[in-house]
Amino acid sequence: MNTQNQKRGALGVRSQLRQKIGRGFDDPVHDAHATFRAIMTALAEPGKVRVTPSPADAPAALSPAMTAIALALTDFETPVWCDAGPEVEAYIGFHTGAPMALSPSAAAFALITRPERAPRLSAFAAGSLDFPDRSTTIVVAIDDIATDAGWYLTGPGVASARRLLVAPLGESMRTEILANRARFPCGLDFLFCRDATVVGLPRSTHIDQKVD
Amino acid sequence: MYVAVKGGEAAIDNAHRLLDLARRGDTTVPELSVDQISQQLALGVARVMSEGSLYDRELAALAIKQARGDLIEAIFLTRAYRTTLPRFGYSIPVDTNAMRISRRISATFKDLPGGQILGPTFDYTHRLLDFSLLQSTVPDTPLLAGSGLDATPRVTDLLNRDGLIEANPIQECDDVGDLTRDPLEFPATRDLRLQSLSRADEGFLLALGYSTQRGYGRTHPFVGEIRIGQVDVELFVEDLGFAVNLGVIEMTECEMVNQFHGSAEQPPQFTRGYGLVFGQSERKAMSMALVDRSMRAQELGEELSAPAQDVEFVLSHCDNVQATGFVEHLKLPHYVDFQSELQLVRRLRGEHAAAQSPSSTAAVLNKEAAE
Amino acid sequence: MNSPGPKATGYNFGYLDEQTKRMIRRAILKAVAIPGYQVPFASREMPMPYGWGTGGVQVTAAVIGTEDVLKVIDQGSDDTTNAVSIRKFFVRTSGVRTTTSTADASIIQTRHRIPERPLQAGQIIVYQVPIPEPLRFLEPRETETRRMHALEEYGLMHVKLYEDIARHKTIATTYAYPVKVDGRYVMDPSPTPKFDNPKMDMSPALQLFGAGREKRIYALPPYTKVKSLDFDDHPFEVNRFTTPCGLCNATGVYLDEVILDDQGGRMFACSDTDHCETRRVDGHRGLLLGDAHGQVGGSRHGDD
Repeated sequence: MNTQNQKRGALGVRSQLRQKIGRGFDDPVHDAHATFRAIMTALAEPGKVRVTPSPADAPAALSPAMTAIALALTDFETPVWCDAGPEVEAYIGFHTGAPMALSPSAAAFALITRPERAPRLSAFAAGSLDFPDRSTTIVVAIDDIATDAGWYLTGPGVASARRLLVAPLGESMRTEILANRARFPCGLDFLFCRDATVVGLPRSTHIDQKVD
Repeated sequence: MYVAVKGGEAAIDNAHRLLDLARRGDTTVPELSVDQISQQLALGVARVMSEGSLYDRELAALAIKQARGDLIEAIFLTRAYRTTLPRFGYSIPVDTNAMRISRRISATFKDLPGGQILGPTFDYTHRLLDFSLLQSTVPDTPLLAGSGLDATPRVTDLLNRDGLIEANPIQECDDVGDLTRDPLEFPATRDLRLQSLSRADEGFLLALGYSTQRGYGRTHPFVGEIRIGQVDVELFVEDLGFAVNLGVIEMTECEMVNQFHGSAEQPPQFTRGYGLVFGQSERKAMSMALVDRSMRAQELGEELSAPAQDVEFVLSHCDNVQATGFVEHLKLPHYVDFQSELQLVRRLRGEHAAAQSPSSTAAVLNKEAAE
Repeated sequence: MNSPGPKATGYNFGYLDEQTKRMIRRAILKAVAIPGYQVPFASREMPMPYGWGTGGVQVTAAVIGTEDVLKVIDQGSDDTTNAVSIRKFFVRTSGVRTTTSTADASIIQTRHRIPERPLQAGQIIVYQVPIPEPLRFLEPRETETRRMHALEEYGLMHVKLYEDIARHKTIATTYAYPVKVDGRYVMDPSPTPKFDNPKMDMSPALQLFGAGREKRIYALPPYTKVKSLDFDDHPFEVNRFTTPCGLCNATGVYLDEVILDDQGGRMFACSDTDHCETRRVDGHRGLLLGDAHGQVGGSRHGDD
């Protein structure tokens, strides 16, 4: 209900942008739910591919999965860091009321559409030992997802080792992801998105490049 | 032959019907209207609004009626309703300097600008049951002062002019916490402490405030001022660029003036405790001011020894909706955990008996007892 | 399974407004990502008392969807009054289907038990938690316990358990028995009997814990290592019952003790009523069942 009020407020201010901004979820309550369940199960079972709803009118620069995640989880309480440009910022601001984060470390969510040119992951919030939950959730656009190649994942949510390949990430991000587990319970949680699919990689997951 | 207990739903439905019947009582007695409660039980309504954190006389009166006069139940109903309401924004702070005062007293000065205004108070009534109220009564008309009351500057501002009292320890800031939107975190800052106290149980604060007077964290309090009256609630509308008036609410404000001996850095001066609650509720506002000052002990470098000084203790236990829920949840079935304890106690008693008298173990161990 | 009932008007699906759901959902995601860590969340007042399952209800309300089938148990039973009340709340506010069958449920909200039938992949179990902090009874201050978790300083807990052994020759904690999650966080499993602790270890189901009054959410993803705290010379043991269930003859299950008269007569029966009834339908008979085996206390599915 809050967002509706904010939308009402935003209408006046952003009236010129209004024509350009696409629609959000067709069914805000149930599409948000379906998106959340996809994300929750993605993080609960790292490396498994989940399907999200596809908002029909998503901005061109965001995949349906990334758009659905932004619509389902962000609001005025969650600063968003985004590298996808003003059209996406306007879309998110209009539909969710989420402010744009002034710096990566202030972001509750990061929407990274160009992983190879993203800031160092260490710039985002990793939480503290007292409050490890105060971290940035990293949502990354990738071109390829494979579950029969790449890393070997173990840890909570994985019954026996599961494989995951996500690409392209860029060497810097790839290295930082591999180092993420060592910071546990601090660290970053990742949602890799392609089209309307999402794969989770929480900070609790151990990543090996080959079988021991 | 044993049949497991079933039919919980039917039992619940019937309990609700019994409750409705008991609420109405004898149907030959006229039913209470919400207006009657709002008008004639106004202090109960004020408490429900204050601790329910929702300023709406009609809803508070409805809650009291529905709760059969159980104010904590009414507060709970109000809170549960309140939490479903959309949040339009945050008002600008109410200005109690501009209060339209109906009562204002100071215990620190015999007379002061604006004067002492007793207003509608029990203070000097003799607590004799008034049997005339057994019948309908029409009250005498009181003398009312003219509308143009003198300006009423605060006692604390008068003291502050001479530097006798510390500056107000909360300055205006943009970032005021809200414990209804963010989980409380310790150590809690004073804005959150005051918000929590304003919603807190009156009885709990009264007892804690009382304990400080009896030596459990003494603060040497004086009532600088209590004022009751109406204040405007205003919302700053970004699109308009100015604040609009949303309405008028009645509030009670209490400013305690407390002794402070000073420190190496600071000369002796008075310190402050603050209370602000919805409606007419002096006992609550005064208790709040006492406890607020007590909880500043650490900031003022005082020895920490008393319950009222313990921020985590006070804030974790002052909410009567939380407290009543958890105390009363003991009514719920606990037979699974109790069974675990039964097993253990039986086993330990058996082992104890065996150790005392090895020969009689079998007699003591209940043969049906689980291992 | 029960089909959807009439839905209450005037409230959002699942009662909570969407902003509140988002806030709770974000907390759940952090909880899943940091197994065993208690995530603070801005718990709302619910239309049932604090201490009566408001944490579990908020978690369920944030997780549940129209496709879900909900089971609610208290003390193992679908028919205890608070379980009935919570189930009715969700039928009214979400119109979802409900069931008493553990196998048919996609979400199980529970107080004090884990069903006997092993949970399956895809299922979600939501625990109602009164005091989420396992160290609370050793150290009442949140500021202190938070530091202890941060520094992984759990010595106090081991001292407490060892004092039990010194005094009683056994660990005298029988329910809410602390566990260590994936080698890192010590976690309170809610007041389930320690009998149920092994069911949490490497469970294929997602386990979510909600504490409304204490404003905490925590979680165990599927296939998470959950170890009950113990010592090499005093390994963790579950409580066992020497008698089988008087109604379905099950052994190796958790039993309720029922007092039959004032002469010391008592019997033991399954705490998990669905498990017991399923076994009786399958033809298992306990010594005290008598002939009227059809009368197991009404229809399994007729709770609407």
